[in-house]
Amino acid sequence: MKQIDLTIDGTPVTVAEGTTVFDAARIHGISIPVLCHQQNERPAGVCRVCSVDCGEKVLQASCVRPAENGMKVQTDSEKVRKARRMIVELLMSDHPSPCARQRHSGDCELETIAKAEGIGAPRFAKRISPRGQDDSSLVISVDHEACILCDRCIRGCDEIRHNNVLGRGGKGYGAGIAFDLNLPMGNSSCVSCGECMVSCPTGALTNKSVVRTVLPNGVPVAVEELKQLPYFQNVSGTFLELNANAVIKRHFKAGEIICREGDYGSTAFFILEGKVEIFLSTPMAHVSTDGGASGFIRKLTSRLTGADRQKPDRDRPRSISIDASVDLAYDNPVAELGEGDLFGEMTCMSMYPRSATVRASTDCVMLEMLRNVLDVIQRNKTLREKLEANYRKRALDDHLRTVPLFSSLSPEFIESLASKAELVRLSNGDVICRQGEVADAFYLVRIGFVKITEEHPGGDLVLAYLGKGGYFGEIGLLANGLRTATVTALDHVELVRIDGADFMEMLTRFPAIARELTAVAREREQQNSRHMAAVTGISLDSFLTQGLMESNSLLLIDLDKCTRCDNCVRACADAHDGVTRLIREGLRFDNYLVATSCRQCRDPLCMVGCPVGSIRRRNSLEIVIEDWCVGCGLCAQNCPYGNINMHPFEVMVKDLAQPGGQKAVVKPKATSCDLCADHAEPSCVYACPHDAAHRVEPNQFFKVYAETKIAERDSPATVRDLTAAKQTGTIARSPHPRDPRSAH
Amino acid sequence: MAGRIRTTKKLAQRIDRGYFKRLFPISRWRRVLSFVAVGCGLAWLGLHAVAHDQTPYASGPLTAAHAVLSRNCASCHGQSTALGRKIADKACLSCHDGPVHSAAQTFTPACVDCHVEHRGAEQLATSAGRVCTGCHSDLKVKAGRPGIASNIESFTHGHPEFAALRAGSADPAAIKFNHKIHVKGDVPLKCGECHRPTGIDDTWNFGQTPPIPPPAVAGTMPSGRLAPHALMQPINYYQQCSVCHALTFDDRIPDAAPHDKPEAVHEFVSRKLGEYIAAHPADLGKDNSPRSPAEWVRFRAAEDEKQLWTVTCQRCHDMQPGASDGLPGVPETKIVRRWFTKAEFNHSAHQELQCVSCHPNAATSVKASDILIPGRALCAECHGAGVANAGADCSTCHLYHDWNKARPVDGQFNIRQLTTFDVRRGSGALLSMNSGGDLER
Amino acid sequence: MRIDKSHRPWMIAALVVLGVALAGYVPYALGTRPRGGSVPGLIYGLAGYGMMLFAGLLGARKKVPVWRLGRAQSWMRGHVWFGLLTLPMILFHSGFSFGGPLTSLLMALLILVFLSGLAGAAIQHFVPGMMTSMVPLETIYEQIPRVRDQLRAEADKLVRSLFTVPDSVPELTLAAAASGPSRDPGKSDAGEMIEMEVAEREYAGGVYRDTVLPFLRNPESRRSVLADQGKAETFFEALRRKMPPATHEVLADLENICEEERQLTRQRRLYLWLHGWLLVHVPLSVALIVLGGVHAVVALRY
Repeated sequence: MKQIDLTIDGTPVTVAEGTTVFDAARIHGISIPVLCHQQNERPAGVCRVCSVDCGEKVLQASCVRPAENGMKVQTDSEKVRKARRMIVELLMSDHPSPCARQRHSGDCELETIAKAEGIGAPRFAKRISPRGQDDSSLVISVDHEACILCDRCIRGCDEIRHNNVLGRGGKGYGAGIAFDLNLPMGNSSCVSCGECMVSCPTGALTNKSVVRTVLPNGVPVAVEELKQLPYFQNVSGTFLELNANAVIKRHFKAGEIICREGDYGSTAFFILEGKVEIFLSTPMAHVSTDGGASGFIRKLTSRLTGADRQKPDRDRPRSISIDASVDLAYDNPVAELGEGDLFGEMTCMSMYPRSATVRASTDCVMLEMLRNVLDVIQRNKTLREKLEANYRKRALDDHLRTVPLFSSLSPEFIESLASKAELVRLSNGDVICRQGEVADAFYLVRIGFVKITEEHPGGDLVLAYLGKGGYFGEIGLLANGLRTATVTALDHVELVRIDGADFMEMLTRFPAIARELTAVAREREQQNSRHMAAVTGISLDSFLTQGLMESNSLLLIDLDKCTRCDNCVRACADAHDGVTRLIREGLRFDNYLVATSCRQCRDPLCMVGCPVGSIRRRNSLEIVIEDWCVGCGLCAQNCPYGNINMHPFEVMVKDLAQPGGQKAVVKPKATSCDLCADHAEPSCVYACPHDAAHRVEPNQFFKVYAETKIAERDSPATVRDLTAAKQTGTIARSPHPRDPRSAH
Repeated sequence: MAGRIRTTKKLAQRIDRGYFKRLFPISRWRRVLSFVAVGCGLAWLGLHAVAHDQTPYASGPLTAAHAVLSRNCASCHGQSTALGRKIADKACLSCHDGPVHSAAQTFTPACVDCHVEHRGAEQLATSAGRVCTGCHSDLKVKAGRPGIASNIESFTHGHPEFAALRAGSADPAAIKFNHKIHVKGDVPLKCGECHRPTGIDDTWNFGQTPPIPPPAVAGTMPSGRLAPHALMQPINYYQQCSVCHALTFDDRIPDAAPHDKPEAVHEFVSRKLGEYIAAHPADLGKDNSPRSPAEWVRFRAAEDEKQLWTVTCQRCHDMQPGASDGLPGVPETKIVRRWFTKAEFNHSAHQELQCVSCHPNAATSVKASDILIPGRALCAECHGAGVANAGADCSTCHLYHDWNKARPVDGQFNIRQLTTFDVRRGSGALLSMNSGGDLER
Repeated sequence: MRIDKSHRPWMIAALVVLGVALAGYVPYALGTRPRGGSVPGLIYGLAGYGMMLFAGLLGARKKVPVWRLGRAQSWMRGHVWFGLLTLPMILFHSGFSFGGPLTSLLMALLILVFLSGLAGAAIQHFVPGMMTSMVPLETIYEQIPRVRDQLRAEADKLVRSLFTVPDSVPELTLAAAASGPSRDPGKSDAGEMIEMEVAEREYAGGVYRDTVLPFLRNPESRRSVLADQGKAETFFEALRRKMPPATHEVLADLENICEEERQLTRQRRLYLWLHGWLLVHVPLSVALIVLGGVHAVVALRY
């Protein structure tokens, strides 16, 4: 290779041809400050901080300027320094100093250079249009404000990891980095490898210190060890190091219980070695009796009321969906998972309770991880495919058979259907199909909730919402090929999609099923119209738009009984040192006031982001805020319902002026309903003299409620809701709680 | 802009979270009014207490007779605090006499068992019938069970027929009288022309005020408690009889003999004849009469008295043969003035009735021995049970105490003691005075 | 509170107690003249006073809502049903007579308390439902003035897009500061002016200052056009016809604010019904209990 001679700062230097000035200087121990350039990336020359005087008319960016023979380079002349300082000052004038990185680790490269150059407060005005922040990713927080458009992240994503997620978007002042087609990072195809974050010179991309908790009972896994696993191969090592505490290796002896059903947790497990048994330990009989009296008294009451509460066997699902890639058979709820399987995803992602008990059947080794690490490996394409294959193999068959119609299908056909079925993942708010569109598929709900609505002039009417095991789409396929309703995902939803062609093929091959399906479709249509009639009386719609079904427990006040005496509020304040955690105000659902008091959401948004982990869930569902709350107010902000509130408390702190002394300081602390967990009944309900306040489980409660409403509709009852709506003018509506825009 | 969106969070954040700690008007007024109401009540009691007036605590107004004691509970109420205790008889007996009910009674009830005070201005003496029937429905006396009237439930149940009308009873009167002749005879009389309630002192149609007081009449109960006009005035010769049945004895003498004992009649006849012969000496010896005035008088008197004794007096009285002095005896008439010996009947309370509606036989009775009072059944036509009837309470007719055994009460108090209450003397002032007799007289 | 099927056990219990009391009273009253001081009379009196005390203790119970002394609901039902029994008990105690001055006063108090309680029970049975249907935009009664301040601030902010509002309205800025957290972050404080003719802008400003603002300042007044729902609708309809379509949304919001004001007025009135009767019931019952105690002490002493 041809050698080139040049002079840098008076020192003669020889380098190979094609070497940039920057590299030439670096090889010979002369360091040039730079922001946009990194050793392992292709130079871009966009920040111009590394500008040097090559003896030409204008200064050149040394990172892209190839060295030339006889070149005389000045890296630190007055002219160069003046130019560099101007560039840095200009960059600093838009920089939110100190940025997140500077605050956390003090190594923001821009601010370091600015400090070295002695630049104080910039003389130039800050950019007027803010570019905002993006907090949607679980692992990386994006502060577009701090971005200097150096493109290092883009090159890291595209050239190093070949994920091709990042790019540039916008123009002028609005220019910035963009994920996919400028989606929020969390919704993009980002695989959370962390490369961009590692590449970023400023606080624009920083590791989210979501979970600082150190997982107990395990050995932290060395980064090298993780990197050897196929699922972590593409993940940045630095990133793994930053999240080292969020994943641990655990060894279980044969027979040891790994997790129990009903427990709340925040971790998922990945099996490295060994096998586990996954089962339901709760006796099945418990499920079928559905509470109430038992034995003799049950017989007596059923005789007296003339109604047996036993549900027909037909409704009983044949399999139980659990939080793993298998389903459990109803009559023998045991399954086995082996190496390479992942379980506990829903618990980890959505804070659902554990759905089954897992016991090690051989000695085994697991990775237990928090949601940021889970997110990383879930976004891994290889693993994703493997998990889907597992599901298809193990659970889809059972799943399809939960549809009563399909139970008579021949196993071969089911198998062929299963192989053609597609797993669809959707997040909150995604529309699965729209009313009036051409029907092209049949769906089965695997995880989450979907809402079925019909469009009407006056607003959408909710016909039903389906959970795990529900199915829809057959009416459209059977009737005239058009969708009769709109289906929307309400949370993280996974659906099994069976293509319309396969569905029709099944119908032609099994005419009996076709007949039965038609009957079911007709029945459903009738039910829908019945429902619709009911809906004009009660608004199931507002039930959903208020997010009531999101909760585990609601404080409802029956306004027909409530005399507005405020005893509940007083009781609450009495129970909590004079601070009420309940406000007798809020939206109404028919004649119920949904009081402002913690709903124990199924997906407690409030827990996301607590910097000290003081807000947590107890085993008995209630969300508690522990004493060590630092009063940051994030949970109160996150709560979509205003149920968490900051309240000033007087606390004793060390008096700095007086060694050893203490002084009272008023500090805000978050307060939220704890269901008066020490008592059998919440104080507000206990103190209600008028039987108006009730803590209810919303789905159970409103199921009964809707049934009575439908029954009432047949009798001439006054429909108060209509008059009420007329008077209100506005329809009570709230943005869906999971909508990130409403969360802040 | 998307209209006014109401969300739970926005609604909740409108509210001041400490609002319930402040007192709002309704609660404040509730509190204020509570204090005012209690304050008014206590102030009312307090003012009375300052005035040494305990009237507010009375369980009801006292009878008029006792009203003067209203301000001082301790006048009657003793100090004992036992539950359900009664006023001691001593308290009543310090002012009243309460004669025994019956010598045969097995126990003596307390005064207040029958006389319930604090019931307003009603008659304290009147007490409910069930107080009586409590014993009389199953009466026991010292000697065991009485033969009659041992199961009186009420006037209509178990009450015996009036004693005068019971078998074996007879009118003790020794007089002859034919009601029929007087009512339907040549001179028909109205009942009221002879029978008139007591206390009405009007001129009589058939007589005049007697020159001598009427003789005592048997069967009077000295109760002194009967209402005025309750009884009928006793029949008195001078008032009712004398006009028609004048006691003239001699054509020569216009004056009638007095309605008196035979001795007085004899004396009157002799005196009148003596006066006459002195004035008319020419009559001496006329028609074979004696010539001496004394003889004439004796002769004429014998003649006239014979007429009197055998005809005039005999019309009503069963004259008895003469004794040693030759004058006949007149049996005591024994006219029964009150037929009810154990009860009281008030004629004036029944004055709107015709006499014969209760005394139907009066117009046809020819014998004086006919007992003309109505029977119990006739009374019960009005005085039955139930609200649509005149009262049939025992006390309508009967008295409890045997007032024949009454003793006079020796008054012990002066007016000041009864009308004012000196708190410094303690609440038992009157009672202690009663018992100790340490009076300021 | 609603008197519904769930009250049946209490009703039956009350009827049983009443039946027992009546069964005791009839022979007692037939046998002798009933007196408060006799043993049965004292029993009735004590039972009646005990029930009054129990009923009165509801107020005390409400002061310590957290104590686990039995559910407030049970206390309330006991209050209602045993409160109902006090009158017959005391009538049996007194033998249906009013007695002396203090006892007459007590009886009058008892009857008033009883009647006000009956009225209250009826009110609390019916009015909550009325409130629910007539006041959908109900808020906490005590916070109505505060909410109204915020509504005014909201209206003030809304109309900034129609015309310039002089910033020197002290009460509005004050209220706006109070409603700080509820401010919609999507709307910038200054807001952008909707384009329209100058005349229209002036007209809107005039209407706001002459009609809407006075109503918002004094929403309870009946004189304003906006105090009546029908008139308000006509008013806004006319206004909408005069103003360009771009402003209609703001006008609708403004109309909605006025509607909310009207509903708050309605709520205030209904609330006074709902709780006003307590102004009679509670003070009289406190007096009744205190004076009843005096009566008991004095009567037992003598």
